Amino acid sequence: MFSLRLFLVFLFALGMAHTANASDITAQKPQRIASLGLCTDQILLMLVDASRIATVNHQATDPVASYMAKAVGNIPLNYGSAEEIIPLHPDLVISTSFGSPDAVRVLKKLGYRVELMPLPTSIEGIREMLLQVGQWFGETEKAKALIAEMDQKIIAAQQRNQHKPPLRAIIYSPNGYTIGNGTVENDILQHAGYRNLAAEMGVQHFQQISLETLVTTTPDRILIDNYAYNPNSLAYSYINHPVVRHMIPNENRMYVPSQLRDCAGPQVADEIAWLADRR
Amino acid sequence: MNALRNSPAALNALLILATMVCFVLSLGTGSADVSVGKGIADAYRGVTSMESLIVTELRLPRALLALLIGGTLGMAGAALQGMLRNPLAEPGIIGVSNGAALGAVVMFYFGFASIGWYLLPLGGLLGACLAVLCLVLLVPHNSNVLTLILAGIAINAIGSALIALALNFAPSPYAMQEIVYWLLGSVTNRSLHDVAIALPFMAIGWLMMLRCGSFLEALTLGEDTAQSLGFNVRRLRWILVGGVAASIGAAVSVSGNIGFVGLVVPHVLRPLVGYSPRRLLAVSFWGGAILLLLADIVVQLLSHGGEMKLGVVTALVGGPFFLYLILRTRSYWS
Repeated sequence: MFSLRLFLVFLFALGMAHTANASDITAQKPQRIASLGLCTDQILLMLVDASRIATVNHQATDPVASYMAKAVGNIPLNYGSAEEIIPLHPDLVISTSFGSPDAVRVLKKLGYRVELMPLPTSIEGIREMLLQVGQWFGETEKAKALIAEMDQKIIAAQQRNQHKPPLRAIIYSPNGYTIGNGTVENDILQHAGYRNLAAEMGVQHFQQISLETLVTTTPDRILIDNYAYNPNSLAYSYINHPVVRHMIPNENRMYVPSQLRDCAGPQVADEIAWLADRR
Repeated sequence: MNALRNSPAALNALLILATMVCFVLSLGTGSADVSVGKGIADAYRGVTSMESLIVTELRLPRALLALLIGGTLGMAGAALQGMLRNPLAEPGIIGVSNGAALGAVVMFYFGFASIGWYLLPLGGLLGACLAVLCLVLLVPHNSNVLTLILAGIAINAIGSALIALALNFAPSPYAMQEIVYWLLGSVTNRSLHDVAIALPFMAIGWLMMLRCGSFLEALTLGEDTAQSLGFNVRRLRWILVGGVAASIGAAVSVSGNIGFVGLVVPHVLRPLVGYSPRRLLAVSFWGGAILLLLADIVVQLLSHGGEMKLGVVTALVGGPFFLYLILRTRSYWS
């Protein structure tokens, strides 16, 4: 009997500790935030001081892919697995609905607070996402400032290049993927003064198009994703095919820097400026 | 039918005509709605237009490869069936195509293919040779169907596992997804360069196989009889194996592993050549070309933008045919 009572007391104490802990979290800003993927890493590094970041994904340090590579400093790195996150005792874990779904499931099951950052499909969506994420971090004011800065950069880029005529462009990625309506990329092209030929063709979201279809669009510019460029793969046989070389001269092929293009965030303002200045 | 059976020239002429018709149909098929006539006319006059680019840079290499690779697979199937005297021998089923794909994968993904054009088909050739060697060592001649198929399953499994292993270590992040191409085959997005690198090795392979026509004929009477008729069995068998490996190695290195063509085509055509393995070689070439051109047209009609693999179509035709052959030859099994 005695031992059972002791056990119950122990359980009660555990429960108390748990509720106390939970109220602590809601009362103050999260102090040990863990991010599982590149896109959440970048937003986290923009909004939160390094001292409150428990870990970011190793990709955040990649100078080609990451917009915030320099800000990582000594923050511990992870490869997106739950096992790396648990010993760090984070009070908030952030990920996207695409990244590390298994790690997210395990961490949720173990009672960690996990928030999934929405993936924006427009520039308006980026603004909403920043406000939402800012609230999680307890950094609403900083998020608002980031949005204002982003909007200013976009307007400045548009005003600088007002006089230039619009160009007809198409995005062509390894394996022949193009990007059409309902995407941030489409919004970016339009804000930068380009017509997105894939959207005009009726492509929704992402779609593979054949080289024949690409040739018939006769674009002024082709936007090529050359992150992880490696000629020894079939994925790049689309882009290296002689027909692309004949159709689109070198100077009309554009390689948007990966760090501006990889994730939807305030960095799209820089991508719009990059594109608009090259129109 | 009887007229065809009695006149080899008429049968060949008919098949060549049908191949040409399919070739023209193939040039006319594609996702872009363009005038092929204008494309050819522009290309002829040296004008670079949208039509001429599509016809000469995209459709011509695609149709040429379908023709040449289909022909290679058909002829190699006929040669293997004759040499092993086994109705189920086929480059795909016995693992030669996967061996070739393995050789090509190693050459392509690790950058050797950019050192010299010949290294890609050569890799395919070496891989195909390795697979044929395994088979020849494992399966005694005149062995029953079951031994051959089981050996083929094993060689195929080892081949595809090694392809996956090689792709895992390949530097390109896309490599692993591309295993689909190597295991199912495709002639999409190929260029005239691919035709040029594969053709020499394929042509050498065809000549080597055709050279062995009368040997295959004699072999139907048994190895001893062939020997006594004055054929150097050992040497001619190596020439045949070399021909199969060279042509299949080159074909697979630019198109991946397209199965069942070499199985179906010789079977359908065999009665039309009076069961002569020598005459079967040439007609199987044209039959394979027709089958693969048609299969590629089906692929283009069914897949919109995103591509379907050629091996899917040939397996959907060839798989049931394979089952039918197993049912028909069931009496050999026990």
